[in-house]
Amino acid sequence: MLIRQDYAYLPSSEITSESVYQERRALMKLAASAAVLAGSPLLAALGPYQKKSSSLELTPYEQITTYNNFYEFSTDKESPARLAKKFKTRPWTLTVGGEVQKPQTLDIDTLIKQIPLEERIYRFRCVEGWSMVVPWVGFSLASLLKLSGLTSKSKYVEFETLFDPAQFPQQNRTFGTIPFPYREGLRIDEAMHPLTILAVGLYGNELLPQNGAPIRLVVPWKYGFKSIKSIVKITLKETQARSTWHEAGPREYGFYANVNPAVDHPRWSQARERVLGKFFKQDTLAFNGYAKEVAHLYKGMNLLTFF
Amino acid sequence: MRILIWIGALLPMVYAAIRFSTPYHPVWLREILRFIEHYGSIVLTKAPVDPLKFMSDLSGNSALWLLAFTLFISPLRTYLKLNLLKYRRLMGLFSFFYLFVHALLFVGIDQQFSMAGVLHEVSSKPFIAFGMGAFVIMALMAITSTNGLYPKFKGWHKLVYVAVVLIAIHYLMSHKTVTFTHVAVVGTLFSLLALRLLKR
Repeated sequence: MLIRQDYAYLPSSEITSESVYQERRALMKLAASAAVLAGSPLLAALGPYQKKSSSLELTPYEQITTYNNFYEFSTDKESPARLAKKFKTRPWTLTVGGEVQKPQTLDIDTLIKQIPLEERIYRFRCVEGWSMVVPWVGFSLASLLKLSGLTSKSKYVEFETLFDPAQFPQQNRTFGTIPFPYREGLRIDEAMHPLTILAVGLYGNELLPQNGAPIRLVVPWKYGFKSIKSIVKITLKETQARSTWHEAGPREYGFYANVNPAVDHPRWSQARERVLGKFFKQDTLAFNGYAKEVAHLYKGMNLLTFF
Repeated sequence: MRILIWIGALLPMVYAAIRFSTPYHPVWLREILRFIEHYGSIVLTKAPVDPLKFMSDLSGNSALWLLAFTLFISPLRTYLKLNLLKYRRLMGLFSFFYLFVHALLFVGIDQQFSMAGVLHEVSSKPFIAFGMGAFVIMALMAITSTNGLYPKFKGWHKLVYVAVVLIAIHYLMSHKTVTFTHVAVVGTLFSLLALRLLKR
């Protein structure tokens, strides 16, 4: 059964318009018929999509699925949707190992059936200065980590994207891109926070490859690059987890990468953001609007140093 | 020739107009654009997802390419005996037009016309300082390009070399990773400068 929870706490005058609502209904009908064809276990678990009230204006499905940073496919944002069409998301296994009581390798479909899915409407803020609002479908990372059992040595969580140069064209290159496989990490308290989820769908539909299918991380109070896509490996560590962008440019991309309007990127201000589809910018909120839920995790830390 | 330059230089504006008017296209226009889209590798029937970034990139790139063409005019005359010198000012001014749009988007939309904001950005971010430096140089050149003023300020127009270097650095810094394309673009700019310097 699907539990729907709305984490869009902040009041907003932007109520979803009727046209957007209708557009979404049409999309869901399409998704429903696709589910019949594909026999998708995720969609079966979800049931028919229902309009839920949210104070946030959702970014259209079309924009979320055609404007993507996915360096394994391309460094531009329009190409991943095109290049990801043949990406194979089944069979897919996820390995949870390292400092855990019970290391295990899980089949993605078994996992989806095992853990109840919920919808979470989150703001998503890219370090580049653009943002969107996404209705994710997934489950809390904590519920997965508990399956493997944490130990006193589980202090950091490191995630790794699939390495498969046959499917990811950029993984064949050494110049003009970042080192692969892509890795990202969280501190254990960040990983166990109820807002941190592993997403397997969006808009009630299965994730498309360009959005990180079949399973990706979503940490709504951090810049988007922390929310690693197409995960194959989760390793619990006693020492600090690796982070690809942090290693590529430590002055530009911090390990924490919490959304912070007060800490500029060396080349642009982070005080405001471009909401996809809109020409004028809006103010960026501390912790992307989730300060009430997560600010306590960083109490006593100088966020200008640990950005 | 003059009409060709006008058409060429205004193409980016036409492209922007097509993209932004996407939701209002009549059926016949959409079909024509779909046809071109299918055979050319260019997006024409989709409104820009990140409109400010789209306009910023389009104006910046157009300014860069028009400046490159402007710089190409004198080597053309030296090496290929093709004299387009009388169109150089027009092309330079078109380049400045796009640079002006580019700077206006930054000052007006990004910084909301806050001079304190602009000064803070210029003083704290080399990326912005390089771009703004090039804009100031190009603005001075544009203002002193009239028939009356140009003879008096001819020497100052050598500053275009500084502007090109600033633009090249700004361009390279504008991307999260430097790719072959970026290196090729900067290589082209520097080759044009080298060609001009060699003939002396």
